[in-house]
Amino acid sequence: MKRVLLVGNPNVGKSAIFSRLTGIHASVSNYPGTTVTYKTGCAKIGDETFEVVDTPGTYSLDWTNEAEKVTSDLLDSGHIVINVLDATNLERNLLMTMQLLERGVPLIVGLNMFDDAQHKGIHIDVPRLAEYLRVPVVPVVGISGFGIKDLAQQIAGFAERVERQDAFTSIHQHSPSEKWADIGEIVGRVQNLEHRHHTFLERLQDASTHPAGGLAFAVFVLLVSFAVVRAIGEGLISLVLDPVFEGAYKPILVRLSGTLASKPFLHHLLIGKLVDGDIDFVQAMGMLTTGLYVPLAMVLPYILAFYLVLSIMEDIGYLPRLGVLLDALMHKIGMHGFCVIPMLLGLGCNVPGILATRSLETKRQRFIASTLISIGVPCVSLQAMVFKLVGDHGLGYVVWVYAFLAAVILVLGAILRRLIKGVLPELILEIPPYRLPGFRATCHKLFYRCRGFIYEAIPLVLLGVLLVNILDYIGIFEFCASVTAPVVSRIWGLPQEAILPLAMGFLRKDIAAGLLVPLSLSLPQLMTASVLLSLSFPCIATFAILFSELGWRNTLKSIGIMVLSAIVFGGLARVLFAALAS
Amino acid sequence: MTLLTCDSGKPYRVIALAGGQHFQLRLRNLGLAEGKLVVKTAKHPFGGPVTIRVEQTELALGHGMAERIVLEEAQ
Repeated sequence: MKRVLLVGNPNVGKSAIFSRLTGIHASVSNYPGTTVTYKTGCAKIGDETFEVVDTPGTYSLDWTNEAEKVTSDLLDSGHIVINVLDATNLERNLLMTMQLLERGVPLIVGLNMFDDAQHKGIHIDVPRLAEYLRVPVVPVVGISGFGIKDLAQQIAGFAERVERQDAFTSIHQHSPSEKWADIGEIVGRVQNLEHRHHTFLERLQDASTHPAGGLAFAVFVLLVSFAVVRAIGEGLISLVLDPVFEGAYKPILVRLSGTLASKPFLHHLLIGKLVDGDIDFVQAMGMLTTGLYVPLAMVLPYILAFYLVLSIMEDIGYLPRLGVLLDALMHKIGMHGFCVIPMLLGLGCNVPGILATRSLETKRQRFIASTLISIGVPCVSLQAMVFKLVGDHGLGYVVWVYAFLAAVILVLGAILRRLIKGVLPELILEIPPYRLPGFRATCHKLFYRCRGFIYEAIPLVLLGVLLVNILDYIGIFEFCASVTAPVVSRIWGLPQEAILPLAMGFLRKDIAAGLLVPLSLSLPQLMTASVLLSLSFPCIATFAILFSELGWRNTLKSIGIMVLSAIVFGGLARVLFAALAS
Repeated sequence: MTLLTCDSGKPYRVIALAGGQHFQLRLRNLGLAEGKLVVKTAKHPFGGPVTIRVEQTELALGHGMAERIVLEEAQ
């Protein structure tokens, strides 16, 4: 099978074209560094099937970070290389085209965002550009699918030429200044700029990176996002999911509970404990009750709400601007502004957050960012439960939990920055223009994120419930609880049985938080436990990704920091929250 | 004059990138090469980044980097 590589600068839309060619979903956003590892799929063009590879964006073939290295390493394995360019930014993008031509790879140029360029008054003479470059040039719009057929035809036709060995156009090696001079000349001849007045989006663009105005705007965006996530999440729960579970599903379970009355163990496993003869979905701890209710009716609505807001922010192109605004602050905790993006992704799930740190330049920065994410950034599964458990006492208390975790990140970051030796590279970040999110693309991404949650979370939650029941049956808990009691009770002020939820946090944070309910904790205890679930050991998925990204040595270091900060900050949280609630 | 000290909103021409090879390479790859016209759009306080526009690209550069980009006024 012939291999087709999609390469190009960051944020030019390679993943959108990949999705169009292969029909496979690839996450598309409007910021540089969405794709950090390569992704492969198949495209059937005519009678032939091609292997299509989506690569992380790179500004040049000389790599400067892990994600860019992936692309550089892959380059020679492609039978056909498609260089994707951003038509609104032709000059900068052509540098890589020149490097590819110098390397003599069989090249097709895909001129993406061609519609955007026309809207902006940038007219490109495509046949002329092809003539100068001596390779096929195809205008495309990845998001809408425009031009993808032409691109596919070019690939098929090109494949034959590659076989005949006449598809290789190589040019002489240029010096850097020669390259820019040549590019300048080509652009001057094929591109025609028309003067346009500033649009509303462009004005908003400038306002939202302005030092003072931008910060005010960021606070506004944050508050609105918080309110929207809460409103959608709670709305879905109270209007859709609770009625379905309580009204339609519960009667079935009640009947099942009756038939299982003669088989206590099975009843215990599937339905769980009855509270006053009734099924309480949160407390029952049966696989068919709590095991389904927690992920589907408590967490999924928030997953949907959170990722809807995040996807819109990603697609508009807001995240890099936050990075610029917070760069000075991030320097104080050993990272630069780009780290804001992995941290925000970590708020959804720590795993993609930690993966996104691949776009950072140094190992030191990646270590600090990954550690801080797994300690101080609660994933949306945990947040949904905190909203329910703590939020029932008043939303203000939820805000305190967030504020405490934010403070932990700042303090711990400042300490790590001093403890770990190394230089902090400065921020270099391309700020993409604001773009209106494509409805189809945003919905797609949301769908895949929700599906990912259902596939990954439900089996683990069910396993967790099963484990809790088995351990409960064997009676091993009393022993564990007595061993860990000094820390759990003396330092954190929690009942010693709280070790069960905290330990279960290793499997899933949501089911762990659910296990707090039967303990009937006071408000400050609930808040402390919520903080501890984030601070302490990461869940198994996060643990696996830390291990593969940092290596075992640094993972051990990172875990040491987690355990230590859980003990120290957990104790602090207890004191603070007790004072707050009294 | 450097990118750090120049005025915002006025066009300047890049005359030198005063740094190591790696530094120069990264900036050139982003389109910030000698001879290009740049406009500073904002300078963030507390040692924060400087944002600039080069052709159609908007870039954010760390404080220390901005200090090493030497400019002259463009006619």
